[in-house]
Amino acid sequence: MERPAWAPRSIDISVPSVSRIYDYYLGGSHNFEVDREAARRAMEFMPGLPKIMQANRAFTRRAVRYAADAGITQFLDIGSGIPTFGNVHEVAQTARPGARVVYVDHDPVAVAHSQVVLEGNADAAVVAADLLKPRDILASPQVEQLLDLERPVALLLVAILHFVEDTDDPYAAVAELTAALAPGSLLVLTHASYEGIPLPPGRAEGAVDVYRDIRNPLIMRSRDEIARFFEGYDMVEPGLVPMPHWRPETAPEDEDPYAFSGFAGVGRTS
Amino acid sequence: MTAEPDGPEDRLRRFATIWSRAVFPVTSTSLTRPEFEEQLLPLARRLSEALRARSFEAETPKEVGAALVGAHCTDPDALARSLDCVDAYLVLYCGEDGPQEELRTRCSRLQHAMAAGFAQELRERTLAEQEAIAQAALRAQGVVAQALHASEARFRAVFEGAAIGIGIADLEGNILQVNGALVRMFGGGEQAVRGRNVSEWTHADDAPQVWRLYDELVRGEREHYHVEKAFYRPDGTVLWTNLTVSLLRDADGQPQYQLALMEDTTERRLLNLRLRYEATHDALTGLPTAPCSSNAWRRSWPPGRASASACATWTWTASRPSTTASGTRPATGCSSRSPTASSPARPRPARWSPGSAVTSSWR
Repeated sequence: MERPAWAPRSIDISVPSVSRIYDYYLGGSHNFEVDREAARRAMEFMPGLPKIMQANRAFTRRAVRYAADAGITQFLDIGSGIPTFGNVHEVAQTARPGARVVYVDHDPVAVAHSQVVLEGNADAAVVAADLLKPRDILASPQVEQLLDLERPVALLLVAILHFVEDTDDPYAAVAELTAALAPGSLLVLTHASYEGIPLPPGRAEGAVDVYRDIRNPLIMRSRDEIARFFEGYDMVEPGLVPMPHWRPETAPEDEDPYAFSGFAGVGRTS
Repeated sequence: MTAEPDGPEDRLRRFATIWSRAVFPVTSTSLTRPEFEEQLLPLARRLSEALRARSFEAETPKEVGAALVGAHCTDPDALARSLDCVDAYLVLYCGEDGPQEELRTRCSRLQHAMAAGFAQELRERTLAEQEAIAQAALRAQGVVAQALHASEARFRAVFEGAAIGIGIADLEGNILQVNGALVRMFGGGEQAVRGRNVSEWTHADDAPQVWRLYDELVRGEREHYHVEKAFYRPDGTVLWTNLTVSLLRDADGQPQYQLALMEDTTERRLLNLRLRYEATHDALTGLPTAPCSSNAWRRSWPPGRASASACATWTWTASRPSTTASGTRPATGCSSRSPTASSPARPRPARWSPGSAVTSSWR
């Protein structure tokens, strides 16, 4: 008999997980040796990987504050990973007390940890679901309970779409998600790219190979390919740019060169 | 912000700025550098006060070291850079006009305690996070186990409740699991089925391809096959089945088990035989009506049973709906003649009815 759709195949902590690797890059200890081993191998090729993750976190923080300032009080963060610090609900609920946040991840360990972190927070919840099955997300009790889809939502797809291969059609998944959102909703997105990495292409490919080896291929897309996710959106100024250039609060020149790898953008549905 | 230029507050702020600039590149905080500086300012203030306090007290600098970890400065370099900074600038910016020698000694001791506080807190935090992630993995595994349990319970209900016989054997043919329907087909004795080997289930009437298909399947060369197959029941009677055998593979595609689904066709087959008999035998005389019939009859009669004894259990009756004889005689492909008036009168075969003497003799 087929396993129920919501049940993960199995939990194998001898296999590296991208969310735990991400935690390691950010100096956390929510990870196992397999995760650290994969992270160290990737860092041999791209020593600045942690700076890219940090830039992602910093961008997310600015984007969430932007959304809160624009009056948005509902957040759907898909691919939220392991909550460490500066999480969306902390930023959002600081900016707007009572802001509602639903996290989504398909990593069962990340979900279990998120549940513990969010315990006692009535305005935040986590859903175990896959980005590629938008209906599972939108029809989840957590989303139904916390989010009013008749009102604008900020949909966060931070550092997740580059883990979706073209054959799985990430564009269709994003389109299906955003189709369910009310006008005025925001799409907040970052994506890895060879563009902007302060290394010759060959070296960055070494890091990409590490992700392929752990069966979580990293799909580097060009700026144009990433811009396609925003088709039909009004881009929020300054558009799709390297992370430090998106509404910076400090001089981008002071940023680590690695922080400029990949692109970030926010679009508004009309 | 309202600090008087070069006053103590202004100098403290400048120290915090220098400190934040030194450490910020090795933090993993998502704060901006100025925000990070705001986090360091109270720590700088506490160090400044501890520097000028009447007596040395290790608790404050330890707490400052621990607070660095709290500000996501978990990289050991964050400590090295902080200590460099304290060593070079704390006395300079916060020492005011105190005795330099004593201030320098105090500053060193502050650094020692800061390092201890940092190490202690980093250790605590690492252990706590390791514990948290291990617990999360366990919880997640518990969720999977529960899901599997629910799924298995459902599967078990389907398996046990199915009207079709289901059996699972390994690739050596050892029967691992059978359901109630299958056991009942074999006459109800579990020991007759469970623990046996598939290869013991040869039957004199097995078509030659039956075991060739089986061999191909267990070698992984075939995904499934479908045959009509007879089995001996422990009581010597025959069980005819429509048998579908599928190969079950593991997640990596390696053959693991064979799954047999069998439907008891014994009764249907017997009915078929009767209809065939009727179609090919004169209703009145009981004699074969066409030359082609007898071979087909022999071929399809379940061997392993003395056909004479089977026949002996048939009951005969004189009443029979005429429709079978005239209009709705099953097409057999053989030409059949109408009963002739000259045929000698003879009882006709009874209509098959489940639960009749025939049924029970075949069970």
